[in-house]
Amino acid sequence: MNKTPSKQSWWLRLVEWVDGDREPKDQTLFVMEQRPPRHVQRSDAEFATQDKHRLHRFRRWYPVCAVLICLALMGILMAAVLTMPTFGEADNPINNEVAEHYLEYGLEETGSANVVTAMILSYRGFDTLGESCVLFLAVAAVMMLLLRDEKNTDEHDQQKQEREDGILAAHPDLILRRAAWVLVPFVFLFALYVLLNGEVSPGGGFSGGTILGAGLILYSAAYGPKQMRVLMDARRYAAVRTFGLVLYVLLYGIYIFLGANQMPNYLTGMTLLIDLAVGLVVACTVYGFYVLFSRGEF
Amino acid sequence: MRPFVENLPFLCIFLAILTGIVSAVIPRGRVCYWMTVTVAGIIAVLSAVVLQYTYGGNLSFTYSMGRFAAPYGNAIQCGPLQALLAMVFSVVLALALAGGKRDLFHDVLPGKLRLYFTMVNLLEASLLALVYTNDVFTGYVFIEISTIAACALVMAKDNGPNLIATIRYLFMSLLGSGLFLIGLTLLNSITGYLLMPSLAQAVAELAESGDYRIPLTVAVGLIIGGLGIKSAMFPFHLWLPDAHGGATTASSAMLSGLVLKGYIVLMITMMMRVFSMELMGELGVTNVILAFGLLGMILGSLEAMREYHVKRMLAYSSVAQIGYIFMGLGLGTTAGVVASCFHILVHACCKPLLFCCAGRLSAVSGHHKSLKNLRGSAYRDVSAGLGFTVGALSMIGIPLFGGFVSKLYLANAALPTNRTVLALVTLALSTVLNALYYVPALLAIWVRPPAEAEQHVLEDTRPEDLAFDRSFTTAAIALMAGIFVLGIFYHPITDVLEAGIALMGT
Repeated sequence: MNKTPSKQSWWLRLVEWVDGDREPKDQTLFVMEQRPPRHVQRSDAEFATQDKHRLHRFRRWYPVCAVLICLALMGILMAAVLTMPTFGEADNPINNEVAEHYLEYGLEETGSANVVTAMILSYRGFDTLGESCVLFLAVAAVMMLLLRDEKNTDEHDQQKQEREDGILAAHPDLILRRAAWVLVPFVFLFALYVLLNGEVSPGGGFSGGTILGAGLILYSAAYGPKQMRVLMDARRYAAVRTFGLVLYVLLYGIYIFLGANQMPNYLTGMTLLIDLAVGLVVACTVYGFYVLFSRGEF
Repeated sequence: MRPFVENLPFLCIFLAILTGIVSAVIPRGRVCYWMTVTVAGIIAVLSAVVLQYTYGGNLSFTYSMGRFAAPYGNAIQCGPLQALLAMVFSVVLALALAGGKRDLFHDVLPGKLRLYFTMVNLLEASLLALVYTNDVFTGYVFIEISTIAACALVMAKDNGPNLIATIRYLFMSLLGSGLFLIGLTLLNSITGYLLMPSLAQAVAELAESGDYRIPLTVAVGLIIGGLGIKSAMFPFHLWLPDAHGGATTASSAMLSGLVLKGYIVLMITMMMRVFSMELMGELGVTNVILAFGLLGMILGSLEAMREYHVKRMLAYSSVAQIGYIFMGLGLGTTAGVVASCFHILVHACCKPLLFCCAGRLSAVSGHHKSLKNLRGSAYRDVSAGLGFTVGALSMIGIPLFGGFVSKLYLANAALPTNRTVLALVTLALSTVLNALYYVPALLAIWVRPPAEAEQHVLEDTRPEDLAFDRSFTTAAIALMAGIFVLGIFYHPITDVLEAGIALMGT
């Protein structure tokens, strides 16, 4: 407090408190925007020793407490795990009619030979839709923070970025370019294969989408942002990302509506389309993270 | 063919998701704003229809998300309680946005408003899903969505302290979801189910036979603890004041009024539908919840008394109010749960109102936040002053206001238990403490300061901030009306809550 409270009478302090006259106490742990103290000017040395003391105390006690809490949690979890059913036993509670149903009727009911795909896209598809929304939201949150705007980028940053781009454009990495030139088509081809065969073999939207995103990252790293913008600029990126998830939400919404009302299933080829939609969302997520963290713009 | 009205809860969730995705590509913030508010209104109307259907027929229906019946596919369950909560949540969401509109458009860059509204819409979808879910894993997925969206809402006002607050919030939130997930995996490996009805049956059998006692106890503890961390249960509340106190007005209102409640509703669903109150009492979990709730009621208020930053004061007051809700749950009786649910509704109306009014009062005082600089600000925007007064009086628990009824119900619920004295004394003490920080705040905003001090504050104020704020006034009036309805015509509402909670176990 700035006004040495001990010197005031308790009545004055009470009046001050009722009037709400004191300044709010700053309780943030690390202060970024500090206003200058207005009344008693403490010397810098005094400040430094005090800060050092606080930090020292914090550093001494923090690890001790953290270790104690972790040990307690580990003990509790160990006790739970040791008394749990042994992993892999045949008569575990987890091997009940649900798992059996998935294995036995998966192909018949959902049309996908890959049980994992059947489970994540048909039986528990609502959860997968939620997960796709999580990916979408994660990119949106990173965009909110890192996408260049007048607050987080100044002239200087802009110029620095342009200089670096210029240097990169003038001295391209030949090995990387050649390798990417050979690899990228095959990466895309493989991604498409994994995407389209998710129904019958291991793969599907999540794995295929990651490969697709990796291909985009490789291309962008080798040929630089200018070339990349020809293939995918900010507008196209937003369009693809949104299109993927909207397609998924609409298809799945219709699927749920039909299923819950016991209407005939018109969407027999749905799994393939949903796999594609999930693939687009995942690819855009992976690529979006790369672009936003490396440059902050498309 | 099922009646069409049973499709509405699922349609509400999908509508919110779709609006969220589409608003990510709409460049104009104002269009996104109107779209979000309209969709929230539509969802409220649809939920009201569902409420009328379920309460009128005294039924609770399961809706399979897909063509596979339980326990093979996802499902949602909707009864009167769920429909009522969904309706109130979406109305409050729209009003919180309207109340903080001017601050929102001032604090968030125009280019990033669309992302903000994406977050708001998906937050609404996650709240609805948390309310309706009948599957524990769906609960987890939508907890993740609301975590990311809530952190982004804090981060939207992009300055240093807010980023630090976001990181703290993110860490605590992730810890909470992590514990919840570990609890779910333990529970799944000893029961083999994820859908609530089958899970409840398996848990009841385990409780009966006494098998896997330790994993069951640990799973219950982790699930309740995880949700407790996320809903700022007392000893885990330290992230809350920074996050809620620093964010832009609309974000604070939504975070305090709704996001915390989403997790609590999921906790109530787990307690009522999966674990059953008897098992919770037997394992001693209710006692722990009760103790944390009572401590929160006292210590949250004490912390609030030390604050002079008006939004941080309100944030600490949230900790105390969450304590009330947990106290009701900790009593371990149906009456306690009804009282808690009523307090959820009351707090969902009061806190957004208080945050919006505090935001408006500080806007007409040059965006100063300390109570000292807010002196006399109620005269500069009378509707904000009145709104703050109504909200504060309801928080203290004056008759005719919503807060009084929930305190009455909480006290009533405590009577038949063996913890009557403890609960009643804490309730009384907490009420006094509430008055001790809300009355000075009220005095501060209604007492005119000396002319030169007022002049000093007005110098910092921009003239466009002093102009009449129509959307804020509308929202404040609607929320005030909500508080009076909850305080005067509370019988129909508690009837719905009682019916809903009775139907929840089935």
